[in-house]
Amino acid sequence: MRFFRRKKVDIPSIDDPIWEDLVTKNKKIILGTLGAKVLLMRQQVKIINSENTDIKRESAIEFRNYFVRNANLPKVKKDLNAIIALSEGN
Amino acid sequence: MYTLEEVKDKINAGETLLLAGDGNLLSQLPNGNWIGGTIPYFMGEDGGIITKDKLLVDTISKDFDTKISVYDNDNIHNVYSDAYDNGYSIIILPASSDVHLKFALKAPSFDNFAMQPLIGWISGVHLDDLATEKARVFDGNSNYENRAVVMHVKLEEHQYAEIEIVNIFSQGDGDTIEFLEDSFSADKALINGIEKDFYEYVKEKNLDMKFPLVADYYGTMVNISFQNVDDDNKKVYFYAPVFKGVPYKQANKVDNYIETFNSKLPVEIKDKIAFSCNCILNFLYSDLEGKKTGNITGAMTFGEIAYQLLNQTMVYLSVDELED
Repeated sequence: MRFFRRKKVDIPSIDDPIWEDLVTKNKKIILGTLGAKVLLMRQQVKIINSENTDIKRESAIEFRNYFVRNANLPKVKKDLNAIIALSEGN
Repeated sequence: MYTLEEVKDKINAGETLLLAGDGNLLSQLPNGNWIGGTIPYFMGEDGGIITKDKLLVDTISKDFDTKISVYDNDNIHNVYSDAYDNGYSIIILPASSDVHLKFALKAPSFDNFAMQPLIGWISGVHLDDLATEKARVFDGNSNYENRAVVMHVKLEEHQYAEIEIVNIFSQGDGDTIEFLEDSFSADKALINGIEKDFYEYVKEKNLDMKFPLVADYYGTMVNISFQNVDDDNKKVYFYAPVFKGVPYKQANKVDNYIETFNSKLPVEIKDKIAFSCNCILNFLYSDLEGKKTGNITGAMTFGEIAYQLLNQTMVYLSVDELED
């Protein structure tokens, strides 16, 4: 029997402005995961086509959730590191 | 590719299968843990083939728990939410059915879109039979013309699944095209930001419809293929919906499909590929019958799904081990 322990990865909190910066295209990023790419495009299109004032926050939460759910996957970890670096201005 | 009798034996032995083939063959299979869809076009072990005599088989490991779900227009929005937490889902939808159209247009707005891998294809029929036969899907027991079948697969904790695509097309350097609504057709569009009659634009530019519209999703090219130009109604139709707010450009021309395709194939993960399919338009436009595209096999379909509906693209799903 093989035991596998999921590693904890630090994900910027939802209050970190990086998430809204990404879904509003204020900051640009190169992503490696197809799921993250289609989801980010979905969030950006949703914001363009919506008049809801809460839409940016909602889209940021939805995009961040992808990383919360998939943080242990190798390519997602790389994307997260790129997001963290962008958040820290590196 | 397998004969009907060989596939019957697999089902009777309790194997979990993903099947593609002629409806007459699929209808003769025993009940079991399998899903399937109709299509006669394949990339087989020996190259592109059109056949109604054999079935394409992908086998799901017996180590994995699976559940088969059937969706119609009223519950297709649950398809992402129904996936296992650590797993993937394979979907097959019948071409031109209501559920196909709804999924194509609305999938990105469904709850939990893209949170877990969803891959699959649009079933079809031989192009000579379009007027007499309908695309169908099978859930290992019944068959449907207007429902989607999905096999949700649960992976072991130390494994993960990943979807990738192989697309030979990239954006050309022509006009930027944006559409005014999510739709399978368009009569108006913004061309470099200026609203124009899209039918007239396509006619004036004499666009070669073999080359799709391409959107850039952060470095991944996503195609929308032209279906036809309706001269009576002055509309342009597509095989997948264009989305409002997404900028498109027509693809660069590709001279040698096989050479370009093979150069983009993921040779290093071939053994880890659990499922793959490619587009019938690639089969037809690049005359792939009898020709091989690498060592990856799969159905040549009426539409490919990698989270959402794509065109003229090979999609594949790999299963790999997480690092300890």
